[in-house]
Amino acid sequence: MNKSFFRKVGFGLGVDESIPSNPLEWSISQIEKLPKLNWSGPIYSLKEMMEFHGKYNYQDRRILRKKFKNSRKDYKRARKLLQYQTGHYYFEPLWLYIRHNEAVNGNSPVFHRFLHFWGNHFAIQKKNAMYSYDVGPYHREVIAPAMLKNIEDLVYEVTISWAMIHNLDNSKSIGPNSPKAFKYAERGKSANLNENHGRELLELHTVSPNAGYTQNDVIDMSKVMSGWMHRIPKMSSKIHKREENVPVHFIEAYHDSGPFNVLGKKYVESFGTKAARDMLRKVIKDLVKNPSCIEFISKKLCNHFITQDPSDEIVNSVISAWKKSKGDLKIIHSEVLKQAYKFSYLKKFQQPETWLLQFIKMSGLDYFPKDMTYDFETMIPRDKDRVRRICRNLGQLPFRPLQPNGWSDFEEDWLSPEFLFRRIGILNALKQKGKLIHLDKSYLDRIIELNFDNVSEIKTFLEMVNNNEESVALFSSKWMLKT
Amino acid sequence: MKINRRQFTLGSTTLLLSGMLPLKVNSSMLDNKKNLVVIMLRGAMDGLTSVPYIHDNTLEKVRPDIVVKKLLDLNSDFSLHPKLSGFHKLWKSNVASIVHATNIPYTGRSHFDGQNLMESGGTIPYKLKTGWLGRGIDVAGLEGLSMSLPMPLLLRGKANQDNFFPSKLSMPTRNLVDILKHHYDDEPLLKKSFDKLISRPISMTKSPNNKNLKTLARIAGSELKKIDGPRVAVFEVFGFDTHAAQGGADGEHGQKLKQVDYTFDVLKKTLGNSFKNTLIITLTEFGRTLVQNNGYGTEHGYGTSILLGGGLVKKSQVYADWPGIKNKNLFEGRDLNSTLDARSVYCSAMSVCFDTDFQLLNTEVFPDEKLNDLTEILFKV
Repeated sequence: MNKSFFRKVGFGLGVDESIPSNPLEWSISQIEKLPKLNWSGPIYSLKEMMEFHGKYNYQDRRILRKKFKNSRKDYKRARKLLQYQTGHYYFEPLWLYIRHNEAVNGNSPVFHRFLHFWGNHFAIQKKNAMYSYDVGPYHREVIAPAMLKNIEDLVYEVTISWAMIHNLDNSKSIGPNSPKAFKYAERGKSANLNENHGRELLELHTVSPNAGYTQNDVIDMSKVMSGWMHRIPKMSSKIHKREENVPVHFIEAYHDSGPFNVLGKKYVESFGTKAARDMLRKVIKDLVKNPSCIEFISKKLCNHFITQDPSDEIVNSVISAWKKSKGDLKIIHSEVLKQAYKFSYLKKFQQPETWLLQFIKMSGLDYFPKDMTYDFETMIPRDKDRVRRICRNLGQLPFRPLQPNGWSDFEEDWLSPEFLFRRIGILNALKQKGKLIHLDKSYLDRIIELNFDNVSEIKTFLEMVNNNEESVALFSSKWMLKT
Repeated sequence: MKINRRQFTLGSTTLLLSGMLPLKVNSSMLDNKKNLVVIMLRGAMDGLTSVPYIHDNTLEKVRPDIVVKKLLDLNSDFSLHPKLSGFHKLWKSNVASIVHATNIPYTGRSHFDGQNLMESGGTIPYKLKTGWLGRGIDVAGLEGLSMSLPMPLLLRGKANQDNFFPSKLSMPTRNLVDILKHHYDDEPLLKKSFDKLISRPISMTKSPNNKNLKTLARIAGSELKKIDGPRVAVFEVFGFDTHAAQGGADGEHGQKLKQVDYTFDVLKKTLGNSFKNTLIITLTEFGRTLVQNNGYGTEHGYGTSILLGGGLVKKSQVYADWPGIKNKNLFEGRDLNSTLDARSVYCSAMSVCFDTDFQLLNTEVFPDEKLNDLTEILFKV
């Protein structure tokens, strides 16, 4: 049996679990429906988070900065209180706990591995505290449900989500052939496209530079996307008090009327708001059928779940499933799992967070706080911030990638002395604090038998290690770092 | 944006890191070792606050509540923010200069795009996946050793970089270290990283808990002055995005400039004699608007200034093709204009510190760009 499969596509097996008799069936069954959350603590919807984030933005920008313009100290003090009231320091640890709880204690770790993958593919950069307020619910409410649909639905729903529209500045884009641009021109002003979102939709989210698109393609893609925005309607003071934290909507006045030419195909818009609004969907429908898109994302899935240098045989299997199913994500994911099982002997260096979750699940570490309630009046208690601190120490705060292309899946980006030290150092620190004391010989044997095929080789390796360091050795071993 | 996070990054030569240390270190070797320190000022440093234009009273008119008083003298046109008193001492010693009315060629006023471009050296955000300093290190045949988590884009290049940043964590026992060393034998990248990890100098294994800027500058200075130590250091100072309460001499911006001043000051003291072979240079994504806003702050702008210090600076000077700050001179009617591509300054700095031809660096690090060779104007060649 290829036991590494349980780590390749999940987070390994805990000592209370038994080895599934049919691993492939075990994994595929998890991606067929939206899993119920195991989390029973506080949770907030995307809508509620827009209220929190909007309140923070409005109060900070419109009230505090003016009120305390003469006193930096008073401004900082008032802003800190506002941050407490709006959960500024609370929500990111909460989202991380929910994410980690589902990975470790949930019934569908495989689904959550795919959610982590797509959350990273459609990364929201560290920007405007979105990591604190918005990214957790964006993953849960936008990406997770769409993972059961077609790739076209997933790309479209992400593209018009508040998080991505804000992340990639689409609200700042005005079509050159739009009613708004003409009004600007009458006043002697110029209205410009913002190409950020259009470019990334092509480069990072769908076809990749392999499609050979040109700057004109980027411009026309941006024109197609113009009008999708979270612009604040001036007539509503209620919405204005949430700044840009209002639902995304399509405003035809900002939309370019075309025609558009994207990757060699001409798109002509018929008259009316519906046609203008539907144009983005039409283009995305074609983008996800583009061979470059199919190959780019299929390979990326293989990079993440199987190995960073997958053979053509592996990638082509996923491409074939994509084409045959016309982009059905359940079928695509299922094929990735089949290939991961078939080639589970191939090794993949695990990202820091994935490695951490595997370690927590396999070791049964006492990791989660008793509760994650918060008073919204004071600084979040230290124990409730533990997960965030550990992720930061490992160098990967999952909701804060530094670039729009998300966290790397490649060994060379993660294998440096300091990154390696952080993993070994955290294990050593936990050992010194007595947190790994439960990992005696029989416990470790159980972990090894459940999760590794080379049981005797690992046991021989651990025999060389001093008594109290076996757990550190096991979880920093090459078999654990590379799965 | 956090305002108290800082970090620094160090670079070192392949030869010296690979354990081929010279048997005997003599003073001439030390004399030939040149160091480059880059201080990234995140959030958009206001060039008109750090180095105000005093030739006329425009600033007093448009910034009535935040204009900086008690300025330090530079010349008849420019003064220095009082929080840069350490830098001012360097100026008086003829080892500090300023390039003004400059910026990377980016006018979009987005921090994220701007910071990406100030580090990558490109013109399209996120297009380049490496940094100009990393590519420069590649061209010069050096290897980077980053002392930060994560690795800043600025220092990313083709070479497999090391990275280090102080933490409270410690290594396991010698016994386990020895076992792991052999355990990773058949995993080349793992082995390479682990071997470098366990061969760190003592100074990098006993990390201080204190990660403040002074401590980091002291560690950097100590490492830079070693003959077998690093040759490139990168610091980051956050919090220049002062939309509100920017203040005058004691305002938020001034406090941030004070941190920059510490860095110059501590590095000078720690480097000792090696300061004469060192260049310290600042880098920011853009400047800020000329006119103050309603919150006694400033908005995102365009042109700004660069501070340079160290023995490799040619002389104390404010180098600028000054565009003026009257309405007609402003970029888009609101910002100090940029009349010099800041990448010319950085390419020239690398040329001097890496002893590498300017044109070669221009071609390899900033392809398709025609930058100005400022080495003879700004630096001791």
